[in-house]
Order: sequence, then structure tokens, then C-alpha cells
Amino acid sequence: MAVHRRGYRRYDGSLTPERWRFWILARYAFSRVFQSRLLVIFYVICFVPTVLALSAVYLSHNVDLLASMFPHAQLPSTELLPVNAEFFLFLMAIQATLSVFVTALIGPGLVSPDLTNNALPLFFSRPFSRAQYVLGKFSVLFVLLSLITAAPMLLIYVLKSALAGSQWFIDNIHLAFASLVGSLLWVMLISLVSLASSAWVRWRPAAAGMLFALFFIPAGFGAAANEIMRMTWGSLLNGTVLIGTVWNSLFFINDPAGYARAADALSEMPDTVGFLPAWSAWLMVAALCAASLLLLNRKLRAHEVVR
Amino acid sequence: MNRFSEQATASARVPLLRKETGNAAPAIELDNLSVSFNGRPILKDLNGAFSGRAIGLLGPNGAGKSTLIQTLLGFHPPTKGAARVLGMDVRSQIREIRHAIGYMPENDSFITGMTGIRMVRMMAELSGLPPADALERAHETLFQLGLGEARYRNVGTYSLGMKQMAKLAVAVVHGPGMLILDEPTNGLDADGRKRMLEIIREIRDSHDTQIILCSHLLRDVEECCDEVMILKDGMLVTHCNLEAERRTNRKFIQMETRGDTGVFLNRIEQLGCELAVNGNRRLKMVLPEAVETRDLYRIASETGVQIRRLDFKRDSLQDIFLKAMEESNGRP
Repeated sequence: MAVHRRGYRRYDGSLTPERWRFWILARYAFSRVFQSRLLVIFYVICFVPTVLALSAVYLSHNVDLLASMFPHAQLPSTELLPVNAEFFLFLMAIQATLSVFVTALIGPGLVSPDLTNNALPLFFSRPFSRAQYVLGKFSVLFVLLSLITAAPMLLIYVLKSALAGSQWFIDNIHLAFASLVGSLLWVMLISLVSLASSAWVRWRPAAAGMLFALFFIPAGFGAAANEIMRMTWGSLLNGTVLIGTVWNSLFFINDPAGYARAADALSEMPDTVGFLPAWSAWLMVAALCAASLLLLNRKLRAHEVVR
Repeated sequence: MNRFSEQATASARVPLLRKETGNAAPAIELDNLSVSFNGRPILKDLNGAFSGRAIGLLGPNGAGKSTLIQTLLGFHPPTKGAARVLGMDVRSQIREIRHAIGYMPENDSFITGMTGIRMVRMMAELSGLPPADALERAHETLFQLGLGEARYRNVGTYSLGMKQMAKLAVAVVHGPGMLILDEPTNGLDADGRKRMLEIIREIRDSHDTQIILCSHLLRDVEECCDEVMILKDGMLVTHCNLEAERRTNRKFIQMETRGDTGVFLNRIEQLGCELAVNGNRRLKMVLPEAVETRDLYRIASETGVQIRRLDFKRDSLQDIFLKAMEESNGRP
């Protein structure tokens, strides 16, 4: 290494493509994120439900193996574990819950330290835009959360297809689509909300707390509004109902009866009165994403705006 | 095949740098530049072209120095008029400008949880350097700036002086054609300040980059810059070429002598010098272009006069600054 060259010299070498530079932020962030042992352990735990689900799907297709493991059990002759919309919704709900904790561990450390330590001028005085900055930080959460939400669903779908045959693969392709889109939508929503809260609340623990507060406090207000005004629109403030409604609309796109069943199940949750129309849930998710981007746009500047 | 071989090179991105083209595109051109925040004018109709190797940006607090710098970096859009950096327009070519410059902000700026080497390397990569080049230059830069031993330490644990150096490292690591330094000696002790100014002069003298030095410390600017612009209340009150000023001052001499000065004075007048005698032994004179101080020593030797003291006039930057402030106070 040419550390003996201690004079200033211009750089005249090649440059990397601009459109992929956002990934540099993600690359450096990954290595920092996994320095935390707590996060690594929790991240590994996040795969446990998936491993259990994969094992269950495998064993349900290998009754002989199951019978050898449990010789005295009375095994039914019908399908042991139906891999259908309800199965995916159940697993997605578990993974989504885990993903909130992962986001709370990672998200607050992404933007707030840069704001606290006035690092933004260092980024934005380079050929590196605010959009690239947000994209870089967003990709950290998007990749890590997709690995524990969308990827397991696809894995299960692939395993089930391999075991059940190509006809199952074709007949249930909508499950793969719904679980992929539903998971990615959830990941996008939670990542953007987390980045926005990290930009506005500079103290990391407070930013992590705010993420949970954003799930519980508006839900409480929404439930109160539902009770007082005898309506269902307050459920739009309930994150679980909101994303659940969106997922239902994806999984039961061709099954109105199934959708009604799933919506009924959602509406029976505590703090909920009646169910939401699917379009309103989609609109609310879009509005939350847009609001998070707007908040980021207002906060991420290379200089303090003195008014 | 090298994965970067198809990419543009750094110099191709900055075609207007004088070193490459020989083109004397000014470092900064201001054309009726005005900047307002919420309708409040901060910079008012700035005009001028600045071509020095190191340009000092002086002014009292609130004069608009930092706003001007941030406008050149594209952080604030001009409300009126135009500004060009290295011939590139700040409105339409801001990405190219940011490729060509390195910026050292005034306030503490660093990334937590990163070692010095990682931070500097990441910034080099964000400027477009391939990872291997970025790593090499990060090591070189940190060694050059005296942070070689501390490069694997977390930047958050650096002292104030080290943080200033780390900021400078981030500004220069990608080898920019222009360096914008905002109060680089802020908070440094005497040794740190001396070291910082030495480095700035070294970079200036490398002829590989132009420097814009924003400071409220006249001595910093005087020691490093050859051109100065003085701002007050958002207006450009003075623009002077310090180098030319120094050359002029070198021709204005004050002298104290011993011995009979009659013949000496005659001989000096014959050289074309303008003379003023103050008392018997104190002389003030302006030398013509062709006359050097060694001619005075020669004549003194030939006429048996002792030169006990010889001073050049020192019309320091402080005088220029104060004059500019007084003149601007008299403006309507």
C-alpha cells in the first residue's frame, strides 16, 4: 500500500456507476448492524417459526416418517396440514410481529445518528442525493426484513410445490403472489415509518419506543373513536387490522366467502368494531408510506433550516 | 474485465478544471447572485470572478459566508442570478460540481460507530471511487493528515483537533479539483491550527486543487490565500488580490540609516525612487519596478552609509478588512 505517498494528489481513476451508489450505505450498515450480538441472536430466532413450518409441511407429506416417529399416534388419512391462505396468513402474522422487533432494533440507528452528529453535509456535498440516501437506508431494513417475512413464505410455497406436485404449484400460484406482495408491502410500510421516526426522534431508544407507540397509541384512539361514534373507520388507525385487511384482500382476491370469513375474524379482535373496506386499508397504507417519505424529505437536509 | 472499465473517469467528469485543459475558467463566478430564505435576503446581488489558487472568504458573523458556500454546493438554490463553480452552473450542473469538490463543514460532522478509516473510505466510495481505490486513498489521506496511528479508532473518541483532521480527510480523500473549507481552524489550539494551516498550504502548493477558505480569522486567510473576497450583510464589499497587494507592498520601504546620507539620497533619487525624509536618518521610499532592495544595499555600501533597519510597508489584510468595513458602513 502506497502509504509513503503523503502529498495531495488528484484522483483521475475510474468511477463507479451512480445508480448503484445507494448500496454503499446499505453495505456499510449491514456490517455495523451485525456487530450487535443481541440482534444476531434475535435475527436467528426469527427463522424458528419458518423452520417449524417447513418441517411441518415436510412431515405432513411423509406420513411414514411421522408414523415411525410417533408409532402409537392415530394419524388421519386426509391431508395433515392444509397449506392454504389461512396457513400463510397465520405464518405471516407471526413473522410480521417478529419483524417489528427487528425494526425496533435496527431502524433507530439508521438515520438519527447522522442527524445528531451533523453527518448529512458529508453525504450531500457529494454526488449523492437525498433520494439515494433514503434508498440506501431503506434497503438495509428492506433486505433484512424481507429475509424473515417474504423469503420464508416463498420457501414454504416452493417446498409444498415440490412435495405436492406441479398441479398444486399452478393451482395455488395466487398464494405465492399474495404472500410475496403482502410481505413486501408490510416491510415497506414498517421500514418507512421506522426511518421517519428515526429522522424525527434523534434519541435512539426514544425512536425505538416511538415505533411501538405508533402501533399502540393510534390503535387506542381508533378503538375509542369506533366506540364513541359507532363506526369502523377508527380501525384504520390499528396497524394490525390495517395490514390484515390488505393481506386478506390479496389472499382472497377470488374468494369472497373466504374474504368475509377472514374479515370477520379480524373484526372480532379486541379494540375493533366491524371490518374495514379493503380499498380504505390500501389507501391508508399508501398514505402512511407517503407521509413517511414526506417527513423524511423535510428532515433530511444538508443544513439546518433557521426560520 | 475490470468492472469499472466502462465507467467515466473522475477527470472526464470535470472537464473544465484548469489543470487538464489549460482553460482559465474561474474557480467561482457570481453573476448577480441573490439568495433569500423565507423572503429574507441573505446574499444580495453578488458579482465577480475569482481565480486564485486559494480564495479567502472573509466577513463578520452573519455576513453570508456559509450561505454562499452552501449555495455553491447546491444546498440553497439561488433566488436570482447565477453562480458557477469551475465553469459549471450551480442550478443545472450540481452533480458535476459535487464530483469536483470536497467540502469540510464548519460544525462537528462524523458518523458514529465507525473507525476513521471506514468513515473516510465510505465517503470516498460515495464520491464514486471503487472500493479498492477508496481504501488505498483513505489510508494515504489519514497518514498524510497525521491520523495514521488513530485510523482504526472510533471517530467518536477523537479529540476536537483529530475530528477537524478527519473532516479534512473526508473532504480530500476523493482527490477533488476544488476544496471548500468552512472555518477549518475552529476550536483548534495553537499547534493544531499551525498544523492545519500547513496542510492547507501544502495542498494549495500541490497545484492539484483550488481552495476556498471561509474564515473569520484574518490571519488564517492571510497565511493561506492569494485572493480575498470580503462579505458584509450579504454584499461583496471588497475583492482583492493579496498576491498583487503583497507585490505592491514590497516596493514601499521604510529605512533607518547612520552616517552622511547626502550622496546616498542623491544616488537613490537617480534610480527613480520617490523619497520622503523624516528627520535625519529615517527615510520612506517607493521603488520603481526595476529596482530591488539589493541595489539600495549596494549604494549604501558605496557611499559609506549604514542601513540599520529596513522594513517593507505592511498593509496587512487587517487594514484591508477594516477599510472595507469602514467603506461599507458609509454606504447608503
